[in-house]
Amino acid sequence: MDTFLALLLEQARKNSDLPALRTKRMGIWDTLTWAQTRDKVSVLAQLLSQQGVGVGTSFGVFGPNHTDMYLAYLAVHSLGGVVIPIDSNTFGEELRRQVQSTDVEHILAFEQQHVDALLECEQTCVKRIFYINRRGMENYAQPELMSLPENLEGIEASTAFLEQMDGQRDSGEIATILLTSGTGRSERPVELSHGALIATARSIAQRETITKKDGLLAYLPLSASSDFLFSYSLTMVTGCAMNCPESDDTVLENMQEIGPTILFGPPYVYKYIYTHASNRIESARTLDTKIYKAALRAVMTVASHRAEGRRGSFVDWLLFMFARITTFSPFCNIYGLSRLRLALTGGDAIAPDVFNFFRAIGIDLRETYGQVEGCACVTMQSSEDWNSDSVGVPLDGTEVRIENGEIWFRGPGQMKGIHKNLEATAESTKDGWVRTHDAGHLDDQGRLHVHGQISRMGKLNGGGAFAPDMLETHLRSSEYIKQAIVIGAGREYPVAIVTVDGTITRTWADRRSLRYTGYADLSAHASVQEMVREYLQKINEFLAENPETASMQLRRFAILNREFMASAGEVTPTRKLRCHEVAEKHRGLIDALYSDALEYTYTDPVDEESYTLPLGNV
Amino acid sequence: MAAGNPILQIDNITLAFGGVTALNGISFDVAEGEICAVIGPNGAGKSSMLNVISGVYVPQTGRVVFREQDCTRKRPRQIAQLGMARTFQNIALFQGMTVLENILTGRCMKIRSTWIEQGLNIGRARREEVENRRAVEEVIEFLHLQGIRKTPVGKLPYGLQKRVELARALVAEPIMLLQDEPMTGMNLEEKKDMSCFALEINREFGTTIVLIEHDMSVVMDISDHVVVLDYGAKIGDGTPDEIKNNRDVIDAYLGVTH
Repeated sequence: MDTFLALLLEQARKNSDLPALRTKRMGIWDTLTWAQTRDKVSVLAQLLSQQGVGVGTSFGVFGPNHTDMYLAYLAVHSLGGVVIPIDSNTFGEELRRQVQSTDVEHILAFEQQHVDALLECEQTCVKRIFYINRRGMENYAQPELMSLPENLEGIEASTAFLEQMDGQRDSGEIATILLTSGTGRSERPVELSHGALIATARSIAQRETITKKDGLLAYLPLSASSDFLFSYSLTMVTGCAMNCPESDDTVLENMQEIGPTILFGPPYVYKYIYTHASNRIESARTLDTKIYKAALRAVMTVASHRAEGRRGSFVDWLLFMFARITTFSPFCNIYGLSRLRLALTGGDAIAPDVFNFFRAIGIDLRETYGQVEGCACVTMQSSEDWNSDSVGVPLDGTEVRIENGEIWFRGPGQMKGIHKNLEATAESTKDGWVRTHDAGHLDDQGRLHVHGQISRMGKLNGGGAFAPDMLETHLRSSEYIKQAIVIGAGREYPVAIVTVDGTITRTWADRRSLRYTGYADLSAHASVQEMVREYLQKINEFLAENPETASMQLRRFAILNREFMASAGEVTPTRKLRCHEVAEKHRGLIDALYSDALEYTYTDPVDEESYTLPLGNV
Repeated sequence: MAAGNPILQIDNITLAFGGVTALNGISFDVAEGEICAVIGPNGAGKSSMLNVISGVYVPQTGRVVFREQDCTRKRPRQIAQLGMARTFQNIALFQGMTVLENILTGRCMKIRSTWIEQGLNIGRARREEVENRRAVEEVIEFLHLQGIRKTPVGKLPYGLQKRVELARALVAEPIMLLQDEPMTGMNLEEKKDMSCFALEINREFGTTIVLIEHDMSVVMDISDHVVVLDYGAKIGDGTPDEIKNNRDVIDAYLGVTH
């Protein structure tokens, strides 16, 4: 039977002494073997069972990436319950909406912060809040609260209990309900079965021969479908070790210590490493900078040859190997990438420059494409594919087709339906196919190319095509630009709002001895404006080369006084831009961009301060 | 934390530097388990008071009694051994050492092994090293310093350096903690964090806290007991509410119109 409980019992039998879950506590990596994991799960499952968690119970798991959270996943899955993962930083109205839309009855909170957030939520059907960390919890007397560590004492580990439960499980049971990111449309709770998740993970594991010897880092927000697939499901299917970072601030450091062999990251993760490295090089000694730049040129030359399918000269290859060994091998070591044999990205389009960079320095980076409705992964690039244009071919057993320009798929990984919403389920599926609301095409080798969200595509007033996702991906290619949104459907010309990367722009400004007081001041600085303008001009030149895209050239732009933030509802927990919310929030700025105004003054609701943004012509 | 018996008694302290009288006949008690704030305008003698308590200055007259022992003429090290730890107004950390190493120095009072044992890493030295590291890690977790464990202190922003200093004081497992202007120069967010930490330390470990502070709003919110100094004299002593309504204090410090 393909259930997570069956996988746990199998791993505990076959790999009992191999590491399953690791978490860093008090500066030391704490390891649980598969046998210990099984025992801990059996204890927790017995307690949850006594507390009324059973088949179909919606069980919220609210906290950071911590071993205890994943143990709770397993315990709930053992009992046939539905895991509702909630991102650690959720609070207020958003938390209430998530808890309500997925009918959470029992919830596991990690520590005081999470308990507080839950207690503030009214009108939910939460009956019981379990918590793990007792710090600061002495004076809480609410009857729905229950401390896990105390109540777990005295319960004996029992494999028999789990085996008995195993007999009652079915692979069609719903394993989790995940919310779609709501970047294009409204959020919807998607039901995924044990079978679908396991089939998807297994298909990836088989294709890339991921085994119990591999290791990965679980660092993405729990609520991300990619965490559920690439951390939890992949670990359970392959028996590899899952490592949980100590805290949000230590991810990079922990990655270096662990040296994962498999890594999934949304594009921002790779962009971060890319920018972080550029920043260090910017501030290094002149000689070091020169060596690095020469090495980078050498590897990029060969990478571009491979992307174009040409064979380069032998000298190029020699330089390429030399640069890799002398410069980029230590580079990978610093970032904990030297043991990495499979790097995956998805969830959003990765900037071509970032993709090429990682491919060139010897990281086997692959683009994937998937949606919550398809367990986060539908297609994946192969290692030979050196071009970031396509997102690769469908996983085994999965089919993709294009209907009226829209991507549809079907396969073992598809969703069970939209939670308690037959209408939405019917709207999203047709004859067993699931729609993606994304536009794309298949090439002659069967590879999928994604153009962007259909709801965002449109025409300019002059009749020219308009594909904002493509433009944004190009904008984000610059290491100085962190986020970008392009507006233009139904307007005369496209305009862009961008945010600059604070760290690297500061280094850049310091080298030029610019004077500024903070991020907002720096982003409004004439030199920064000029730098961004030059970059946009380059993009326009590129767009002008192709008659199809010539009308999409950007005319006006503004640099925002702060980054788009998750707490303002502008980005998702995996840092995808929520375009509609952003456009709605910054309507005034957009209108100003379509006028002749040279600056725009507004009061930012985030800090209630007044800012004046210069508006630039490209 | 409910206040108990006096853990610290300040009795008629006078401290003069040449012709300047920094403290003039100051007396007050600090009860066990309370948060006591010493406030006052610039030059009121707040830091001098703290230095008298921790044994850096020896007053001309008066007595400091800590845990029923006369500490007036004890050396700072002896007082620290009685269970007192402090932080400084101007950060006094080893700038070139990492956060972890800096905090470890707060444990030196707990080391019993000889340098020979330490050099050979045998016997007590080994056990102590593990114990000390564990204590440091507990404080690191408590004050959320995991992300900067291995960062040299000199590279950290001011607010974090203050927190590291607090960690170093805390790792000595003090019965009483003296904080000299812990929130000066911090932004609102950092001040909030720092106040929360003070309350949590007080609640979790039952540590008595004496803090000197400029920022009135913070003091009034977190302390159980407030002592007001002005030009070396005590002009107020009571609960935050009593201090708010004390005419002398208002005149001298709060500057509210009459």
